[in-house]
Amino acid sequence: MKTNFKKHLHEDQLIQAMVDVSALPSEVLEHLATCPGCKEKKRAFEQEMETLGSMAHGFMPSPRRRVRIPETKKPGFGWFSGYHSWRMASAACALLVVLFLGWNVFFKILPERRLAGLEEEIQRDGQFMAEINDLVENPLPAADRAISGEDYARVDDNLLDFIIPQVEESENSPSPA
Amino acid sequence: MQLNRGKAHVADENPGTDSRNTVFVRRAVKGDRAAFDQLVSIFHEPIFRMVYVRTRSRVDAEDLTQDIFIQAFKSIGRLREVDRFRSWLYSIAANRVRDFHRKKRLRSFFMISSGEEIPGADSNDAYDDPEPLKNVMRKDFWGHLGGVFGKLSRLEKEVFTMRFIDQLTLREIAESLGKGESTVKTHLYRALKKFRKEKGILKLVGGEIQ
Repeated sequence: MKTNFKKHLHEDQLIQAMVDVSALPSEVLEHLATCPGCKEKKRAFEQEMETLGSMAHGFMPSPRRRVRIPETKKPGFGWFSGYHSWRMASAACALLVVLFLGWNVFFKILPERRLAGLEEEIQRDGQFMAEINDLVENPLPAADRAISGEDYARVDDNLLDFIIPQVEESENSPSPA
Repeated sequence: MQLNRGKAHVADENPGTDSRNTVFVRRAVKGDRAAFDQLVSIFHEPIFRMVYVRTRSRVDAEDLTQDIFIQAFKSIGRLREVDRFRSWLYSIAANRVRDFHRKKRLRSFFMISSGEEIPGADSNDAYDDPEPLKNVMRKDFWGHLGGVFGKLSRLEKEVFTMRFIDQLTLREIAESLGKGESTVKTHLYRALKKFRKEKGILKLVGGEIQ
């Protein structure tokens, strides 16, 4: 078979033939098929690369250790096996978190709030009782007290006795003699 | 469970995803442990070699190979295309090796900064061959190949190694690296161009032919 393409393969084409011979232009491929020189160059190149591979293999050690594949896990039972075991573990974790939070809310945080509420209530009760006592002492409104003379109601009786002693008491008292 | 790499189980030097492997893969995907064991025995050595080239340490290569197969075992149930098992396995291996190098870099950075010595930090833990001449040749070969690899980019090196040492096809390389086939071709072309300029390794490889 004669070919019109007379040029021999250059270095780049030879490398290209090594990478992927089908990527060469058709006329180059045609030449390669017919030219003994180019064929030989390509074959020698391929031989070199094969030799490289076999030399690399020859200069490598063989593995001493065997590959150990772990035994396959036997399937577990129902909900505690494989995928379900993860679900169960997640559910248990979630439950623990809920219990922990619940404990804090009901047994630690709430009592404090309850105590604070009780204190407020006691304080309010105290104020209320003070108002009641005040009303017991002074039942009239402040405006009417001046008319009724109850303004002096707050003055201590002992002090009043000291300033103005009671006359009847001193006259009726038995004489020491 | 221990797996023997019995010679009878080893398909050939370069086990591709042939029809027999596909049967094993299909069965392993369905949870057949014995079929997976067969796949381990077929791919144990190629994966070990793949890792060894990238770590240059037998111990690390053995550890990583173990990890790779365990990872494959755990996730084989999710493999949809059984004919892509080989590239799938190599992609696990490539990722695992990448992680290993990342961790190693990080570890060495902290060790160096704290002025500590790393025990066994030299990854090039040469194994001794009983034949002294072979030892010399081995050192010479890896030295030259290291020189070539030093001139390649990370992806060029990866593609070159996968093609000519791991002997994967272009499609398998593309799938393993998660790249397009044209990207793989471009990087392989560049790597080969640089490789052809390295007279040392060419002399070594050419000398072997004669």
